[in-house]
Amino acid sequence: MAALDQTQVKEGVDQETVDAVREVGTYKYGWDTDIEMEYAPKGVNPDIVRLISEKNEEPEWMTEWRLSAFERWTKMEEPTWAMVHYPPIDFQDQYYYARPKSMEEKPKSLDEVDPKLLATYEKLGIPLKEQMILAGVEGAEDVPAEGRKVAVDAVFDSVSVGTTFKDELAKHGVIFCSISEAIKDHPELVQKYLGTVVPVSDNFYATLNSAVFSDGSFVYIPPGVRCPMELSTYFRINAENTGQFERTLIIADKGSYVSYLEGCTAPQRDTAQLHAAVVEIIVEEDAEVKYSTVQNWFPGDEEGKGGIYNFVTKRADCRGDRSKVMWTQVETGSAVTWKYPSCILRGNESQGEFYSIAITNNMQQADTGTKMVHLGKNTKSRIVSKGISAGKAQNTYRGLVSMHPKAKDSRNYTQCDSLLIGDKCGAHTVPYIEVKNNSSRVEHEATTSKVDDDQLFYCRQRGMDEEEAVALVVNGFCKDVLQALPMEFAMEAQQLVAISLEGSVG
Amino acid sequence: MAKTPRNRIQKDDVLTWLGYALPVLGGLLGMAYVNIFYMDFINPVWAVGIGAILGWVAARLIRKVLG
Repeated sequence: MAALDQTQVKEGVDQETVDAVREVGTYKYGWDTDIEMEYAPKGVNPDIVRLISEKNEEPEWMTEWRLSAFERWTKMEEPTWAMVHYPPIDFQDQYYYARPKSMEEKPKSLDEVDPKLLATYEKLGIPLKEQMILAGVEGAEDVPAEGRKVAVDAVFDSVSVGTTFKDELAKHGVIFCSISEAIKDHPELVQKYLGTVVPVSDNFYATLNSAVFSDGSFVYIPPGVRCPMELSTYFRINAENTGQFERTLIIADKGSYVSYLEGCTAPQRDTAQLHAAVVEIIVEEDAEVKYSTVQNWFPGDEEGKGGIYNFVTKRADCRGDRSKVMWTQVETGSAVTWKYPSCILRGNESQGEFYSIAITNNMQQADTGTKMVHLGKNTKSRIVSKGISAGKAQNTYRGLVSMHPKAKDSRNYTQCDSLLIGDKCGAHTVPYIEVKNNSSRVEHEATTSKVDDDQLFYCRQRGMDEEEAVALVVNGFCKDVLQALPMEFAMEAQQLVAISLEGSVG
Repeated sequence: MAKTPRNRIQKDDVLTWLGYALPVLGGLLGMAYVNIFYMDFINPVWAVGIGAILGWVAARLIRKVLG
């Protein structure tokens, strides 16, 4: 791109064209918002933990919970077993809390939110006005008011900027707000469920998150309620040298249903930034939760400079009988990804599904997968993982399927496919299977293939250029997972798949 | 005397056609079931086979009742 900046533009070429050409091959969301920020001092220590708790006006029990987590974290060691390599992270050389100065006084409604913040989300394609989200839905402006709506909780650095459709959801008994609000307004629910799925001591990054999480989303669906609209959270890291540590807690009570979407982006910077999140989902009897993610953090440049270190712990606990959970994720961003959304299938006849596309290009590294822990009788799980590597990227699928002795007649099906583009990338598969009873069945299928010249030649014969041809082949490869995404995300994900692989051939 | 060609579809034609169509339809429904309720982990060979047999039984019953 630097070369392009120095190129003299011919007379008669309009600025729009120049900008469009400059944008090709760059990260679409790499811009930042020029907004005055307020930071906590650099580093992490008990004072910072107390400060974060104070900023969120949390009760004493929450501060104590955080401090006990911090104490544990100081005794823990960073895990090294994952197939990812990155320079040591200096945990004392970054900010753990950053919020726009305009958010000092929590806005009571979206009308009071800083217009710059609203403009940021508008630019990202996430309008925070209470209107229908139109992503990829052509002609959606004609849809009647009771048509497709998506409630959004927008998290900007360390704070939640606002949540839409709260009142409408409240009419159905659904609580959808930021976790900092939930701690204040619904402490009984938070106290009952927080840390019960991902305990404080779960792993290094989850423990760090427990100590310093600043905001995130909270969802409670009461018994028998089908959430009237899709819920979503959009995470944006804007401040430099700042980590984002969000916490999401979703509780689906008996017989309820919710579909939850998550998206994320960050500005293009030369220095790496840390993102360590925790998502906990509690699914009670006959309830169903669908959790979809399109992860598009800045992946770093072609030499591997900058990008987000994405260390996430996501887990769903199917506590009730016949409960269902479905994870769908499209991982295209991040310099380093370390993420294993899991299902604890505790209730009898409970079901867990995991669909994943992990795309790595240039110097990206991803170690992702899932854990399906079958504890109840007649539990079922299905894993479909598609890994695509290009450039010099390394992509690892790491999965655990565990059948407990009491999980009689349980079933699992795992399909794990890897696609290699080019000859310098790598795809690795590390499946763990533990079956401790003799009535369960586990199936594992794995393939590794290359986008070969014949396929590309065939497509090019039909008038496509090389990148279109690769996008077509890759989209076909990912079809099973893309179909599992909600419509709002499916279109975006399909385009992302193509964009992420730009420049990977030729 | 030369036979005059029939223009109208007769009951026998429909019943004969059902004998072939219902097993095929049963098999297709079996396949659809496998895809819609994929978490039931039903073997597609069984689903198609049972669907086809049920279709054949249904066709026989219809022929018996109407024939």
